[in-house]
Amino acid sequence: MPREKFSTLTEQMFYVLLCLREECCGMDILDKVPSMTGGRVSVGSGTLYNLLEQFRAEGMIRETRTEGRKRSYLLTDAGRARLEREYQRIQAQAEDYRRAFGEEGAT
Amino acid sequence: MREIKRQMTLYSFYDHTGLERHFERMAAQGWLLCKGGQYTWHYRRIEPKQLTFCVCYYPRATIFDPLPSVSQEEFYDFCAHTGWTLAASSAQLQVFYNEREDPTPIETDPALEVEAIHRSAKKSFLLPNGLLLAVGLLNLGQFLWRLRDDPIQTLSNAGTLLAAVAGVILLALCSVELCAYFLWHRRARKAAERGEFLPTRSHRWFQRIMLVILAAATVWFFISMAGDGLGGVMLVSMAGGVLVVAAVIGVREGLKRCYFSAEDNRVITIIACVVLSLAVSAGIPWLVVRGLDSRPQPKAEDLPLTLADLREGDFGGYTRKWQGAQSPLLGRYNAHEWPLGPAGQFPEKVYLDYEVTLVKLPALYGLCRETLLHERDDWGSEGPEDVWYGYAYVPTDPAPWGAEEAYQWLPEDGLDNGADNNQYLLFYPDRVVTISLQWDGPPTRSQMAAVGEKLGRGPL
Repeated sequence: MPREKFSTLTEQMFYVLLCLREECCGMDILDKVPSMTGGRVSVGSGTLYNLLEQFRAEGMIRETRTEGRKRSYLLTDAGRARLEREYQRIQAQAEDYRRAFGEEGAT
Repeated sequence: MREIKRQMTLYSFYDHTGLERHFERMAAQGWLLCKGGQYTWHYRRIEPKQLTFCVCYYPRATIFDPLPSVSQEEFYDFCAHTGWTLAASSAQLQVFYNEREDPTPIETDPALEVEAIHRSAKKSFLLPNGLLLAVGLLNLGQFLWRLRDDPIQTLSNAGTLLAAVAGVILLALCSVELCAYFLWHRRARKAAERGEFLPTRSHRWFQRIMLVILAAATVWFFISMAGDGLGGVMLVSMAGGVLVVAAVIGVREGLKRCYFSAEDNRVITIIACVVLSLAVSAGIPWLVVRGLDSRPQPKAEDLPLTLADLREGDFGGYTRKWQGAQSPLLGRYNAHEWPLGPAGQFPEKVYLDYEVTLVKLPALYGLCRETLLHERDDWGSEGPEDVWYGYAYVPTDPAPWGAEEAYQWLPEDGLDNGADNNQYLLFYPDRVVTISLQWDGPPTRSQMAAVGEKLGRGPL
């Protein structure tokens, strides 16, 4: 199921992976996602917990440090590639939109 | 003013929406959830306030965990970071509350939420309900088999009827729980594909109705067993069942308090459950036998009809037996009076046996009539030269018995192997009497009238 799920990333998955381009713990991610998106996207604590577990199981992130109960993670090459693929997909969508409405419609 | 309140939980395991709304209502009334249990929730008194509750599921937790695992604590830290405080937990079910206005929900991805609920439900909901469903089906199957085999015995046993009612209620509860869950799960997965959350729907009204029916059936059982020694035995049996459940929970919770690992706790609790169940299962039949044995030998006045009512003679030293079983549907009573003692003590060998089936629910009269009329269809005996003597109920004049119908148990085809045939089946408006008058010669008209008066119309 996770493989199928990650074939297209949800907004929340996308931003969690994006946060992990630099080492972060879970609580950092909870704060970073809303600030990165101007409050447009928030990730619930339960959702983040499950996503981190599943990303780790898929090798998209790795654990870098453990301080007590606080674990830090970093994006792996596989995760970076997956994020890149999602970016290309979003860009392709944006291109399609531009072609349909022109530059004027895109602004 | 009490500070702690306990409440029985009637919400389904997966019904997070119903639970959240319930806990929010309780907080608004001044009761904050503080402890979760398998069967009850505990609340402590607070100033009434509007709190937002969130029920979520941690699939890796078990009911045997002495403490939350490190990763579970990490999950709690994530929740605390967004303002969610853990109110209580019970196995996989985790209940949080938040004092902030419009807080970020704990679950913001519907697909992940459905997945977590389903993984938890497999452990704590689907397996137990599936097992209970199987028990309910077995119970119902056993009852139907007994009903087919001996309907009068089955319907006149209040304990059997109560077990059947409990089995049907169990079956209905588990079926509704499982069907409702699978329906919700299928819809929730489809909704999650669209990025939507699907709230759960409570069916507490159904659970309440079932519990009221079970309570009414139990009360009905004890009322119908009033004055019968077996009622007490049944009460002890039910108490035994409750005791086993309480003891098993006690063992599990005790081991948790002593920080036994979840695996060790699970093994020890299962062993305790098996041992206690076997002990109670063995103890109850022993109690039943003791209860029956301790009953005093019935006196002549305990029997509605005795040999002294029918014949001249001294029957003081005769052995008597009088037993009955009754339910609000049927009653079945047996009596025997016979000479049991050293040779020569009773010069006149006469015996009396009878069985009265009291039909309390008139709709069952036809069933009783057919059953009693045909229950001996395959009876007979082997005579000299391997000749098989078949017997049958042959209609006879009911008037001397004061009955509506009367039959005599006689050899088929007019053959006679010399056995006494003073056996009769007599039908009265609300009862059926099977009587065996074992002495030489047919009963006189006055003896028949006495049987009709004492057994056909008299109190039992």
